[in-house]
Amino acid sequence: MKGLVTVGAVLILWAAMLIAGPVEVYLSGGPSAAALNEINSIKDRINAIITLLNDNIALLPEITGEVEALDSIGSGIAYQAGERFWLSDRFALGGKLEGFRTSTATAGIYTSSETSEVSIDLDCYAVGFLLSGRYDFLNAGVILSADLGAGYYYSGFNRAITFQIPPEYPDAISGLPPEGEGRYSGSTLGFEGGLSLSFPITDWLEVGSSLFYRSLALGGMRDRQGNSLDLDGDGTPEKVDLGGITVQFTFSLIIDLNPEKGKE
Amino acid sequence: MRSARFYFLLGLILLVVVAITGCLGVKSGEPQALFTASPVEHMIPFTANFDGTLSYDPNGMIVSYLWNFGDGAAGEGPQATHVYKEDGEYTVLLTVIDNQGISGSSSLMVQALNPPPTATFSYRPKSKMEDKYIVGTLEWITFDASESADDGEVIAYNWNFGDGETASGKVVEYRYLYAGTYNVVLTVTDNDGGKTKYVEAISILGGPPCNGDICPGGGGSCQ
Repeated sequence: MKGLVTVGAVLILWAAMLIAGPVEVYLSGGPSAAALNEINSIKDRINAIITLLNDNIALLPEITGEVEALDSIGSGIAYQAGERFWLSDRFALGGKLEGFRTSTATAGIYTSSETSEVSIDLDCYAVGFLLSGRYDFLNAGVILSADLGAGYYYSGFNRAITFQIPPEYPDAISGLPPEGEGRYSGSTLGFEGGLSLSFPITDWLEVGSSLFYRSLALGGMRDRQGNSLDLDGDGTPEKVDLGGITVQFTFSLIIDLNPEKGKE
Repeated sequence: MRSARFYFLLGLILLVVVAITGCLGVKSGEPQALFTASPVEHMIPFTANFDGTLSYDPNGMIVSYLWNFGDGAAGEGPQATHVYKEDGEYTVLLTVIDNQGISGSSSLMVQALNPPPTATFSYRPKSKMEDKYIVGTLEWITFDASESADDGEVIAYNWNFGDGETASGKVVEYRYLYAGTYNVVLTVTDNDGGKTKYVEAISILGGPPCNGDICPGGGGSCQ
């Protein structure tokens, strides 16, 4: 599947280059959000346990310490770099590389007869190569466009969890996340669509902003040993849903390869 | 121009629908079962207390708490107690069900420990000399572990006489060849595999056998 997508993308780009007018090279970056619902559900569960421990330990003279709750995972910075070939005045086809990363972490210790450490570090990223198209709806000084893209994403998820309960703590608690470290990865097809506003500054320079929705979900990330990502240890692999909204601020360079056919 | 606006609006609506569907539509609504247990490791019989009030539902409310105590017994309610009478490892499972009928569960392991047997023995003959019990070399000694006990059944009595010799049985006889002080070790094993050791030092004197008739009250004439 990956090979077919890559070959298809290369063929389309090659064909676009042959018949294209101007080529636009762009870089963009901006805030991005990913749903990561199942991961955040486990985050809420971990926070419930941390809150219970903090509250009860505050009442136990033989144990001291507090651990901060985990923030939600999902918000981060996305970046894109790509080029598009204008096949007509309104329509362009191209390819782009996209990256996104988000993480959350907390750490703290409980001190009693022993030092008990709680340290949780979750990190998620995705890199994708997309075939993308743009259609200009409106050109009134400011250009309003619709964007669509599809391609293959490689995603990774890293976890490092230490969750030690002080030996003096009177109760056992269910639902503790399994301790240890793991690096999981997977790849799948993803899609994105959005709207863009572009502001031509000169004939060869544009700035703009875009609002995209990315659809990207991985159901079975695995580590090198073939173990599935199972953050809560319930035996069911977690789905890593990186779908979400991205806002991008873009700088574009427009190079007119064939002035006679160039984009107006 | 009108056509462009139409497509723009259509695209915007589609984008908003896709975004809302993606961000909200697949949000996990599964209730989260969490509970505490105390104690989770104890000698049987014991009462374990379980508290599931830590459980929560992100999108509604929990309407049912179902407990499986792992030994065939079950319970209901946010809090539960259960008496474990048989030793073993039990997986306690709490399943919570929310007002939409969706369930979530979590588990904990409870270890009900087998109480080990008690081990003790007596021996005879023995005589008292200056506050110490003594036995003579080559004197046959009867070691008796009948006072050892268990909640089940003691299935093995193993003896180590401290001079390299061993024996097994509830009651055994043995005699030492040389004078000295020996640590006699009795190991009893019950029907659940529990083992307990009991150690007692025994002093063996050289010379003729010495018993209570010869040395009443430990008069010191046995040497």
